[in-house]
Amino acid sequence: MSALPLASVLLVIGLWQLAASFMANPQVLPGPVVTSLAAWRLMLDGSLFTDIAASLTRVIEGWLIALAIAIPLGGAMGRSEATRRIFGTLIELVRPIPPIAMVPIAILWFGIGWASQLFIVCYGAFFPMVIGIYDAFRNVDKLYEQAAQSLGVHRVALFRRVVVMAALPSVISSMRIGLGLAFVSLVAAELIAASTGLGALIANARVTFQTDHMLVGMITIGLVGFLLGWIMRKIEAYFLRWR
Amino acid sequence: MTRTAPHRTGTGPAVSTTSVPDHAATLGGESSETLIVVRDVSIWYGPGSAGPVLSGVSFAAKAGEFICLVGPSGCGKSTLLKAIAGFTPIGRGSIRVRGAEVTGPGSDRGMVFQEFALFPWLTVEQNVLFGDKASIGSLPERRERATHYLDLVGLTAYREYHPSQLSGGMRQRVALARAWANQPTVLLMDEPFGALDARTRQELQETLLRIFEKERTLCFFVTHDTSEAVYLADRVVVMHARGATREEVVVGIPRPRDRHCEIVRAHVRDVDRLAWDAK
Repeated sequence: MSALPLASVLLVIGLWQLAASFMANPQVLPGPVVTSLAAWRLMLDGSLFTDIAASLTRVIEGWLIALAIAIPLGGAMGRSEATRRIFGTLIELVRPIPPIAMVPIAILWFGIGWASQLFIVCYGAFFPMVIGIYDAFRNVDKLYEQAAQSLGVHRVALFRRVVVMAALPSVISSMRIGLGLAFVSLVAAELIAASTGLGALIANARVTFQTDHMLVGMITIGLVGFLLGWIMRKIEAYFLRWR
Repeated sequence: MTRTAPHRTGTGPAVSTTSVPDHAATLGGESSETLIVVRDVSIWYGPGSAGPVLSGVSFAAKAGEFICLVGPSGCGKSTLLKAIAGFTPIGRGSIRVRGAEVTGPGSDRGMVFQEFALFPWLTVEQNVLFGDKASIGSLPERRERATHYLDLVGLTAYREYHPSQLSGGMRQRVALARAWANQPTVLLMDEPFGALDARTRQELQETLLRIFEKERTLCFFVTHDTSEAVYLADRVVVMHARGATREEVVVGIPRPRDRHCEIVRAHVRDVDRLAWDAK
């Protein structure tokens, strides 16, 4: 992190300390020091790491399942008019329903636990990815295809060597956006339907009035989400170093 | 140096006096072999379109020729080129390359696009070796091939670069090398230097002629710049709306040509008059 972003983060922490001092009630707003101590205790007994691991596992699993459907479906929609017509409207109709609205029915269908969370995560990641990947494949410049055909490269080879490569940048950005939304959806699912995970940490802290734990959960979510985005950007930069 | 007077023909099927049989010779190697025969081609865009974009166009092109197609925008010169390339289906008539009917794009007809159309995810060398014929052979053979064609365009030092690291003129040089490395029967160029500045355009024209002199591949070059056409071509075909009226100026000036000499300028005036007056 360079100086300016670091300074802005430190400024907010300073303001937070100031507000907490004025409030003088750690039940309502624990300051950064109190929160750090709580985080330290949660790290020492290992529960914070258990929660992070639980959340990350669910995110990755759900994201991978969503990806496994979104890539072939989005790719097919981007390349074939018929597939687009079959699935396009359907996707646009279901997409506006937010993941949080799927929580009650997920609990009804899958019960409280792993399957529900996986469903919510998968649902949250799927739609932005399928639409992004569809766009990526549909917007492949026709000129690349014409150039390849004039060089004697057709059909499967054309798809593999040109279409996939031309779509790749947008496909990877869609994957990054999908991972971010998988994480957001997971916390929504965990708030209601889990005993472990960062969402559950916040939900439990609310019941026991441990506001410092609540803040630890929130900040950890921010940090983990930030880290995931950072890793995805590194992967993106590696694959697209020709740009 | 002899200047050939503009050869005018009417709206008849053949433009050239040297009318050729449509079943082109299939023997290779002959310098006068007819490679492309366009016969009575008409093209319509879409079912609701009022008239054809091209109507009853015919001509033939021989091995080793450099032909420029000029005319006002909308005259159908690019459409004709795309039809030969196999990108635009023809409504009536036929196009044959080495006697084989054109039904779609293929590597016997190389393309150079105005937008370069290089593959940005590949290096310069990988771009040059992309084609089906350019990519065959062992690694040393391919490297030698890449070196040969990159040398022709003066870019051997840039083989490991990506297109994004090159200027527009350099990118188009790579595109020329890529098209030539695949050894097409005919090279189709759709205003390839139209997006470049004047100085770069002249450099590219000279590079193009240098490769042409060496490889003698039949070249088909669409441009709206009449002086570019006269500088490059053996024959300048002037098209009018829908390709209905076509004239042809034979440029018999040996290369290298002096852009500014009177005889070249006289040819440009002839082409200009044909292109802009007879609407």
